[in-house]
Amino acid sequence: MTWLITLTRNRAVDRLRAGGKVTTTTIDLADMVADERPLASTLIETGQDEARLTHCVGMLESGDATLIRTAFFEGSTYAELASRAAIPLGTIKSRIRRALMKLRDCLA
Amino acid sequence: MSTDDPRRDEDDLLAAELAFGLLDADERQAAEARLAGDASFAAIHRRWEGYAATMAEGRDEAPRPSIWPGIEARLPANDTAAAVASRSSVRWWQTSTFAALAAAVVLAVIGVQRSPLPAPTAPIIASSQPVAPLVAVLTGAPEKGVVTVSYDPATGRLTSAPIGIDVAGHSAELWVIPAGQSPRSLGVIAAGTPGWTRAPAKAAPALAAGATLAISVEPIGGSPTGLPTGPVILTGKVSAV
Repeated sequence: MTWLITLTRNRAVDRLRAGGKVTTTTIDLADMVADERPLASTLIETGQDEARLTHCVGMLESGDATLIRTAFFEGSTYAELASRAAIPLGTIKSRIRRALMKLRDCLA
Repeated sequence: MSTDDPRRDEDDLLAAELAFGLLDADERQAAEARLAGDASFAAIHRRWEGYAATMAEGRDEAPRPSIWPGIEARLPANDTAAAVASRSSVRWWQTSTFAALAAAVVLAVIGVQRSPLPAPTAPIIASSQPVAPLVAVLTGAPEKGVVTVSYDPATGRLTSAPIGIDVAGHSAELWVIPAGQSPRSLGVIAAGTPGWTRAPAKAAPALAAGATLAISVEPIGGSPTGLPTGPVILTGKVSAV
């Protein structure tokens, strides 16, 4: 499944970029303060990898999780995220990198 | 928190940034070039791609329900309409998962067909049909030693057994050279001990009977360019067992 999802996502992003389409919708991080962590019952239903990942993403500050998700699902680079969230590029980089390290340590 | 090894952290971050698509075009190309020659970096990257893909499988990231009618309309065998009408949530998830999978397959096939690049080969092997392993004995000048390489197409496992190889202060990198094409890296092999690795996705399709394998002497960690930069010391032909 992994290769299929990765391949599909990359192709889709490549195509959008080739067509000159870059998403520019504003990302409003202030809106995402609700606890998005799924209920324990949901975790049990889902696969273990997925449950662990969901748990670890849930441990991140919700704004950070939103940024990582947005990067992956909407194909936004650091630069695009920075302009969409109206945050300086350096800030967004260090923020995401810190979140990625947290994610790695949680998943390790 | 981080590990004690700052290089490992940097590699981890770069691999994650590549997997999540955070890098701009130049950085991405540079990172992708590293994947070919740096087996440990490629392994870290695969792990992050797994995380990213797992995220995509998460049910809270499913496409909007309104996507379904469009996909359904494009399916040739349009016989699942009744199931869609059912509003049972389990049913809904089953159908939308199937739809998403079908859409992914369709997209992947379209993408592969239109792409001028060599198509990545799906690791789909019929389990009922055992696939013959491939082997090659790589030789050169007598003092350069011998490396025996075997490849199991069913598992993607690439095994190397070197005898008398000395690349002092350098790495020995294995390449597959499909007839009339440029070499593709199979990664750096251990020069002193037998070892195994998974054939990189870009190179695996080229591993077939008749292809040439070669070992070149490269800087530690492998060729920085994705093509051999040092002298080729051993070569051999792949044959099916």
